[in-house]
Amino acid sequence: MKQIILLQVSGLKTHIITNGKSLPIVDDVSFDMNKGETVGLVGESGCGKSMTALSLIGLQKPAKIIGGKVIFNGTDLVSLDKKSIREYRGKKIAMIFQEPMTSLNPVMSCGKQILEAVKMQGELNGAHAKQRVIELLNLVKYPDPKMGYKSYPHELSGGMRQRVMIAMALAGKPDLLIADEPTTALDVTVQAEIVNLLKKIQQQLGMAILFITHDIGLIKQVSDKIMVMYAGQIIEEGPTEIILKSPLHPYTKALLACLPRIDEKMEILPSIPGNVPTPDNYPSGCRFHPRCSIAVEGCSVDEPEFVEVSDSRKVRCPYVHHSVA
Amino acid sequence: MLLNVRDLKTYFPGRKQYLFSKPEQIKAIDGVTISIEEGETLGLVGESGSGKSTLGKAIVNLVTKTGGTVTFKDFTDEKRWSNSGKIQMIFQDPLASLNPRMTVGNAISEVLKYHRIVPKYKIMLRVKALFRMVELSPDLIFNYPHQFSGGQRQRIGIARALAVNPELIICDEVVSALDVSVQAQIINLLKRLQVDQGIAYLFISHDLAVVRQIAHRIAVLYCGRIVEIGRTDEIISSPMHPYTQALFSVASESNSGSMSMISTEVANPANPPDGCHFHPRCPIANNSGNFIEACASIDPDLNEKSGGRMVACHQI
Ligand SMILES: Nc1ncnc2c1ncn2[C@@H]1O[C@H](COP(=O)(O)OP(=O)(O)OP(=O)(O)O)[C@@H](O)[C@H]1O
Ligand SMILES: Nc1ncnc2c1ncn2[C@@H]1O[C@H](COP(=O)(O)OP(=O)(O)OP(=O)(O)O)[C@@H](O)[C@H]1O
Ligand code: SF4
Ligand code: SF4
Ligand SMILES: [Mg+2]
Ligand SMILES: [Mg+2]
Repeated sequence: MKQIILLQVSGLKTHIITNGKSLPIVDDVSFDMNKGETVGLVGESGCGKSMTALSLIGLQKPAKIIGGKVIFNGTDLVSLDKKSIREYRGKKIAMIFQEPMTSLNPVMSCGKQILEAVKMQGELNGAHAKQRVIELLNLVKYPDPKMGYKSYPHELSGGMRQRVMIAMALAGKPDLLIADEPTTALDVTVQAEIVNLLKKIQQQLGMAILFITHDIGLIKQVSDKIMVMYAGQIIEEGPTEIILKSPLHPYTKALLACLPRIDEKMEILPSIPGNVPTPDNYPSGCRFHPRCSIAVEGCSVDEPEFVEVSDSRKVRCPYVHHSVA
Repeated sequence: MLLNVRDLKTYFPGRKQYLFSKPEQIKAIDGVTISIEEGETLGLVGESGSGKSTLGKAIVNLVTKTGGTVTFKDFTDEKRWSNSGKIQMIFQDPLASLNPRMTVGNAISEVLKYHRIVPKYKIMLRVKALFRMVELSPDLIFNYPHQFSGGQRQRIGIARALAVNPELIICDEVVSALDVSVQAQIINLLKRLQVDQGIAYLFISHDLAVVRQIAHRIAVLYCGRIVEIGRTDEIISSPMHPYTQALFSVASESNSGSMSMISTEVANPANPPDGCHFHPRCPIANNSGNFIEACASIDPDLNEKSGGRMVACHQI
């Protein structure tokens, strides 16, 4: 099958500007996404996952894109003004979040909220728009769409609310859906339901999904490709199965080793020494060097490049390239 | 036996359906019997809303008991032990309850003063010792709550609980908000404290892989009732209750790829199904159109099956 490129992010730099300081939150991030592809973005809290996602559809102060390109279907979104970006945000690129309750209006019925999202697309109104809402509720497998239309967010469980959010996000038939920790607040059984639902919808509609999570266990089931982020940079990228089976970057390796396994009890769980650095305090050279078990002298000086080491595999550490067969 | 919980019930007043009708009752905990031994960790798992936090809070009197008894060691008078601090509870964000304008060292001193654990002149020494116990630098006692990372906060929460020399700590989702690496460090710390000081834990978590690492036994809560309880390795290798089976199959398959699951939504303790609370979702009760009547009408008791395993199910 021929792959068609949907999104090309290159050299993206997003800073937060506070107290006269400009903090590098997203620092030289580059990646591609094909049409209909699912890409997972993983990393520890604060590494810049959400900020990377928001950079694609429009940021709020004090964050600002200070460099790089985000080319979506041939258009550089970074160069667009506020008005033009509205043609993309919520339409061709849609986003869902971890806690739907904070993004839903508590005093408006779910049906009305989806209806507003449909009308915003500017194509349907009246009975056709209502019909579309029911279609969307069916698409997200809402058990009783007519009842769902009338219910209010607080009357729904977390899983049902997330379905409503997904229905709203799909109103514009997006080419790219950004899912920022969409199942983190849900139970394992419900989590499985939502993940399967997203996969099914993706097959039906052929949209691409950028799936953000700190749960590496979950990423296995969803994405074709994963990107591992550390301190504002992508440090490893490649096909999901290969990365999980044979990670190259010392950070990816350490992160995978920390995962508790249900089929194995360990007396002492492995962990990564030290703490995740904050953007005002990134170490020199390789940002992982104070915690890296194989660091050498040069690591605190030279900034490693993000290098392609084999077909579709990239890593930001010069000391592990040779381990690729 | 360190802790004995017998037929514990906690009902909350719910919404009124109609203006003049009686408000419905939320049966958050509906007849729970469990026990914990000295130095043991009992894992408590179950989906959101099943009543895990309520059970923990009812044990330490943070919510009112509607019925049942809780006995600690041989204290019969509940007031005596509940004020002694011998049972502590820590939460997902232990510092949320701290005064943001007080240093963490002072916050812990307050606890020591209140319970008169050590003479006044030794308080600061004890606070520093507690910090060392949780592997934090004693220099940090002069910092304020917001100056700590998630993992450090959890260590401070543990230090504060340790201040009163507890014999049981109820840990309510204490590692759920943490990254895997920090999570591993906190679990290792809790395990070490157990070995060193013989502390028992009621370890509440929705993450089965985490519970696996720390619990000697696991209790599975469903809609306010225990449906299965047994040794960790046995529960994981051969879950018996259909709900436990579903729960663990989702968890272990997320380790290996595909997913199967039980359908429909989580149970509602305000309006639980009759009979076995699990019956609307139970694959056995709804087996190929062959609906089992007893499941929908009779509430199954928690019975011993084999080797200390207790299961509440008519069909096992
Ligand atoms: N408004 C803000 N002011 C200052 N710093 C901010 C602001 N918003 C985010 N940051 C910082 O930017 C960094 C990246 O944040 P981001 O939310 O992208 O992380 P994340 O990877 O999504 O983390 P999480 O897994 O916790 O959601 C963090 O260090 C955060 O503290
Ligand atoms: N103070 C309260 N007043 C009324 N209802 C309550 C109260 N506290 C809890 N409940 C209800 O009791 C039930 C059990 O809640 P509980 O918080 O114990 O569940 P949980 O198993 O800890 O869930 P989670 O995994 O989401 O923390 C829920 O239906 C909840 O809405
Ligand atoms: S560059 Fe050096 S410090 Fe960074 S990951 Fe590689 S070996 Fe470790
Ligand atoms: S009692 Fe019946 S409904 Fe309940 S778990 Fe057993 S088989 Fe299923
Ligand atoms: Mg985020
Ligand atoms: Mg809880």
